[in-house]
Parts: sequence; C-alpha cells; structure tokens
Amino acid sequence: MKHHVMKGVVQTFWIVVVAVIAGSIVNLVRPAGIPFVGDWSPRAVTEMHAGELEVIHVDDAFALLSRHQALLIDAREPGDFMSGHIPGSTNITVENAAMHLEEVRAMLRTGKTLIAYCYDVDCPLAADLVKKLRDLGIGPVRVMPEGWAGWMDGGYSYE
Amino acid sequence: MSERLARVKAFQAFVGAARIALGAMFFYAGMTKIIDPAGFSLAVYNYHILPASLVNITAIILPWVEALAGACLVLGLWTAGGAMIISVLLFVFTAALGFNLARGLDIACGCFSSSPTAERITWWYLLRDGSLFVAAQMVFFADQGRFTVSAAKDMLHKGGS
Repeated sequence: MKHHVMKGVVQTFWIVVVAVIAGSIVNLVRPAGIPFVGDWSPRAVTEMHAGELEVIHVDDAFALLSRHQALLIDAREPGDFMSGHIPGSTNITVENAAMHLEEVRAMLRTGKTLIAYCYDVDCPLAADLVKKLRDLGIGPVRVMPEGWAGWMDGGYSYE
Repeated sequence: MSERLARVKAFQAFVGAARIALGAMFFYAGMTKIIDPAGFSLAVYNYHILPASLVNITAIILPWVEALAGACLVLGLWTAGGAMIISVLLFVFTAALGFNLARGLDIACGCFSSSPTAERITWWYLLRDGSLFVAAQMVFFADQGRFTVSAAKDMLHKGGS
C-alpha cells in the first residue's frame, strides 16, 4: 500500500512536470496564447467586458443623474432590482431586452444620457445588454462599469 | 471458474470501465479549456479564489494536468498518478464550488466549457464532483490494469505465441 501511494506521488510529479512544460510551450507559440501573468485590475476587466463601448464612471453618472440628464438601465436579475436600485432606473436584462426595445427608444428620444449597469466591475451583463441593443440598431447606451456595488460604495442614494 | 473468482473479475472489469470513463471525462474537460485559454482564465478569475497574479498561469497549466491525467487513465499508463491527480483536482474543485455556492456567487462552472455564459454553478455540481471523487479513489486503490495498453499488448503477445 505504501509502495502504491509512493508510486502515485512520483507519477503525479512527472505528469505535472510534463503539463507545465507542454502548457507553457504551447501557450508561447500559439496565436491564442495569453500572458503568463494577466492584468486583472478593474480597469483591465472593464476593458475586457466593455471594449469599444462608451463607459461612464460612477461619479460622473451620479453627477448627470442629479442634474436630471441621465436615465439608468439596471441589467441585473429582477429579484435584485426589486430589493434595491439606482433611483429612476429601469430593469432590462439581456434575456428580456427584445421586449423593451420601444421603451429604450423612448428613453433615447428624451435626449438624456442612457447608462446601463449591473452588479460590479466583474459583471459583464451591462456591457452584454448594450452590445445587444447596439446590434439591434439602438443606442448609444453607456456602461457604468462599477455597477450597483460601486454605487453603494460611493454612498449614493437608492430606492 | 469459482463464483468468487467470477465476482472478482467482474469487479475488476467494472473498475477498469470506471477508470476509462473518468479518464475520458477529464481528457475532454481539459481539451475544452486548452482550446480557449482566454475564456478559461476569465472563468478562473470569476471564482475569486486565486490571487490575480496566479489566474493566468493556472488557466495555462491546469487544463494540461487534467488532460494528461485523463489520458493516463484511459490508456492505463501511470494509473496511480493519474488517479491521484484527479482525486486532488476533484477535491479542490469541490471545495471551490462549495465555497462559492455558500457565498452565493452566480458564476459559470468552467467545468466542461470555458465560456463565461455557460452552465452556472449549482449544488448538483457538488454532488457530481463528490461522486467522481469516490470513483477516482476506487480507481486509485482497486484498479488491476484491465483494458490497458499493456494488457492489450500481453493479449496480442499470448495470441501470437
């Protein structure tokens, strides 16, 4: 039994060594390779989710909202929207976006800045929603990357 | 053949089949992640367990460990090492899943697909990984080398002589 476990440990070591070498070499030579140490800062994650979309940060979003120049779209799950959201925001998820197209068009016609948000920096839902609307020819809608978590951290009011 | 011997043989065949099934599953799981390292790195990041500096290196190496350990089990080469690795991985995966389920994170599993929009984690995955862990333990302790490359070689050898 002891011998069997030792054999397992030695084989494990060599399998891991081969995996490290093979994984590293393949990652270095393939076009889809990624950096060995990635940039996972909030800024990089925002860039990854929102990419070419227009971004508005939480403080600027608050400033616009307090001057009545912004309308917010909450892309979170309805249950989370119900338990608290940014004042005046409308709940539109990626899944039910198609049912709200007229609503978004009407919001755009007010001339105010449309801003979508979801949970936090790591949440891709707001960016996904904006991309979906854009693909349907509706926009521009900006993304607030800090999301609901950033709004709460900023100490801004909610309803 | 005595009844007892028949039962032992049947059990060995069952363990051999379990070894191949478990290995094939891990080989497949590893390959789906090797194909898309950027997507898998995001899945690893979303678990919020590893420090950011270790996310990419994990996403680069871990799928290879899975695929190689899986291949070992399928071929019946280095079975002890393959089963040991898969046991440890399943233990770690189960712990990571359980931790994130308990703190209510709504994230993609990153189990058989690296897409962030794929299957969400649920308690069912915990049960699945727990059962697979038991299977991996059985393979580690009870596998007698049925249906392996060397067994096939032996059979060919005997047939030829």
